[in-house]
Amino acid sequence: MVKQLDVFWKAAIFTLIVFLLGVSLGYFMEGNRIKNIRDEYKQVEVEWADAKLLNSYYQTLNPFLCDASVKENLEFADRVYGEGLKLEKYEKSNRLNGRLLVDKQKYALLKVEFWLNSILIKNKCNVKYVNLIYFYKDKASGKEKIEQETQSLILKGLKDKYGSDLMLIPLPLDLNISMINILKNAYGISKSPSLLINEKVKLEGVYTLEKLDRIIRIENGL
Amino acid sequence: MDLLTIIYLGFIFASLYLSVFFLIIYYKNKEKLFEVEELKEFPSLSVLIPAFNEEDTIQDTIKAVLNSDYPKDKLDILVINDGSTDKTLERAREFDVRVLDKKNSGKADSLNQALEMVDSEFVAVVDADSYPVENAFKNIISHFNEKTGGVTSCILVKNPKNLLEKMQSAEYTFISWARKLLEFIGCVYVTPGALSIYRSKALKGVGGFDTKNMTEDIEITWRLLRNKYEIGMCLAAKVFTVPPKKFMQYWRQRLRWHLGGLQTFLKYKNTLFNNKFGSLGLFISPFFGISLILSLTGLSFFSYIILRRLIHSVLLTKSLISTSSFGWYINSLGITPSVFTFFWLSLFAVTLVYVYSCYKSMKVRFNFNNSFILLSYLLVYVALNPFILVHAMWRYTTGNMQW
Repeated sequence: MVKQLDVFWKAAIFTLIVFLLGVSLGYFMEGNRIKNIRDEYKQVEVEWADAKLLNSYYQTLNPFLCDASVKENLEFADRVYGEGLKLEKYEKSNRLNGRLLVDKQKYALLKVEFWLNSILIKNKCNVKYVNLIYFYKDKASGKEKIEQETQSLILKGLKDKYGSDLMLIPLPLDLNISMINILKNAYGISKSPSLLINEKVKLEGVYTLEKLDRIIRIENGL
Repeated sequence: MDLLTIIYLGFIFASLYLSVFFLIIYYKNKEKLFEVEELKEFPSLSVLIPAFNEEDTIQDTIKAVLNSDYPKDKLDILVINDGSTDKTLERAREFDVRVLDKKNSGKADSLNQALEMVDSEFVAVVDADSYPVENAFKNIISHFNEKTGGVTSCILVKNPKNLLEKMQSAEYTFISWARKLLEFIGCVYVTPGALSIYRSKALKGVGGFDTKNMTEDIEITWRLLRNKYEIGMCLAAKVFTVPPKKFMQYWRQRLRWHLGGLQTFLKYKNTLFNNKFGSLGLFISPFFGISLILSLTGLSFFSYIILRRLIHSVLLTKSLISTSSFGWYINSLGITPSVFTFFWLSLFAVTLVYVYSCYKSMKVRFNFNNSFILLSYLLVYVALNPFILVHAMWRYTTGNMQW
C-alpha cells in the first residue's frame, strides 16, 4: 500500500488558492462598492452646493421663484434618502472592510444641513410639504432594533404614499455628531425610534402608517 | 473583520479543504477503487458471528456466509450466542456450523472467547444482522499483504424503506467511498463489525478486542495501527446490513459510536501528532480531535447564529403584522452579494462534484427521489451529528455509559 501523502499539501494549496481568490474578490467587491458610494457622495456634495447656490439666488435676487427652489430641494431630498438606504445595504453586506462609519457621518451631516435648508424654504415660500425627521440608532439591538426595522418599513410606505410631499430625513442618534446631539437635546429626543413632524410634533416608539397619515393630515390642515 | 466572520471563514476553509482533499484522492485513484487481485491460494478463514437477541436475522446471516464462494474446506463458521433471551440459539443450531453458547458478556468478550477456539490464518467478524455477498471474503483476503492487520468492506444498507433508512443508506454509501479513499493515504480508522477480516496473528498478538470499549471495532483498528499494522478497505467486498428503523434506535446507536469514539480517542491521546505512530499519530487521532472541536464550536456558533436570526425574525414578523407593514418587508427583501456568496457557491460546487463522483463510482442512479433524500441527508441528517456528540460527551463526563 503506497501512501499518497502529497494529497495533504495539494489539497491545502488548492483550497488556499480558492480561498485567497474568494477573499480578494470579496475585498475587490466591497472596495468597489465603497468607492461607488464615495464617488456618489462627492457627486451629491456638488449637487448640494449647486442647490444651495440656486436657493440663495432665488431667495436673494428672485424672491418670487419659490417653486424652482422647492423643486430643487425635493429632488435632492429623494437623492439623499436613496443614497442613505444604499449605504445601509452595503454596510450590512460588508464582511471584510467593516463599518462605513465616516461615510455615514458625512451623509448624516449632509442630511442635517439639508433639513435646515428645507425649514428655511418652507418658511420663506409657505409651501405645504411635510418635514419628517426619523431619529434612529445606527447600532441598535434587541427590542429597539425590531422597533426601528418596523418603523423604517412603515416610513418607506409613507414615503411611497406621499412622494415629494414628504421630506423624510433619517438621522442617526449614536454617530457622535455634535449637531445631532444638540438637536436631540433641543427636541427632547430620548429614545429610538423617534419621529419629529414639521419640527413640532414629537413621537416616540412605533407608529403605524394610518396613525402617521392622520397626524400629518391634521398637521398640514388637510 | 469581526470574530463571527473569522469563525465563518474558518469553517468554510475547513469544509472546502476536506472536500478538495477527498476529491484529489479520488481523481488520482479512480481506476483503482474496485481493484481486486486474483487469489492463487486460499488461506484458512474463520467467520465469527456474535449474536445477542438476533432471532430475526441470524439465519439469513448464516445463509449468506454459507453461500460465499470461499472454498468450504477453508471456511470455519462460529456463531457466538451471547446469552440471548430469544430464539437466536435454536435458530443458529439449525445449521451445520459451530455454535458457542455463553453467558452475556458483551460483543468484545464474545469475540475474544471465540478467538481462543480458532486457529485459522484469518478471522472474519460478521454482525448477526449483516449479509456479505458471495465474493466478499475472497475479495477481502486478496487485499491483504504481509503488513496488513485488517481489511474492512463496503457496508451498504439492506432494503432501505423509510426516510431514516434511506438517509442512512446515502450515508453508508458516502462513508464506504470515503473510507476507500482514506486507504490510499493509510488512514482507515475503523474496521466495522458488519464485515471485517483480521490476520489472526495480528489480532491475537495485540491482545484481541478491548472489552471495556463500546466500539471495539474502532479500538482494535487504532491498536493495530499503533502496532505498525496497515489497515485496508476493499470496496469490491460488499456487505448489506440492517440499520435502525426508528429515530430513537438510531440516536442510541450513534450515541454508542460516539461514546466508543471518545473512549478510543482518549485512550490513544498520547499518539496525537506523534510521528512514531505513523498515520495514527499524524492524521487519524488529530483528525478525530479536530473533528470534535469543529463539531462543538460549529454547533455553538451555528446555533447562536440561527437562534439569533430566528428570534429576530419571529419578533420582527410579530411587530410587522401588528403594524400591518408586512407587505413592505416582503418588497424590501433582496440579496446584496457578500464575500460569503462566493464561498458558499464554491462549497456548493465542490459538494456537487463530490456527490457526483461518489455516486458515479458507487453506481448509484441519480433521480428525483435520490435528490430529495440527498438534500434531507445534507441539510438535516448531517446536522444531527454534533447534537449526538454533545449528548455523548455529556454522558461520558457524567460517567453514564448506558446507551
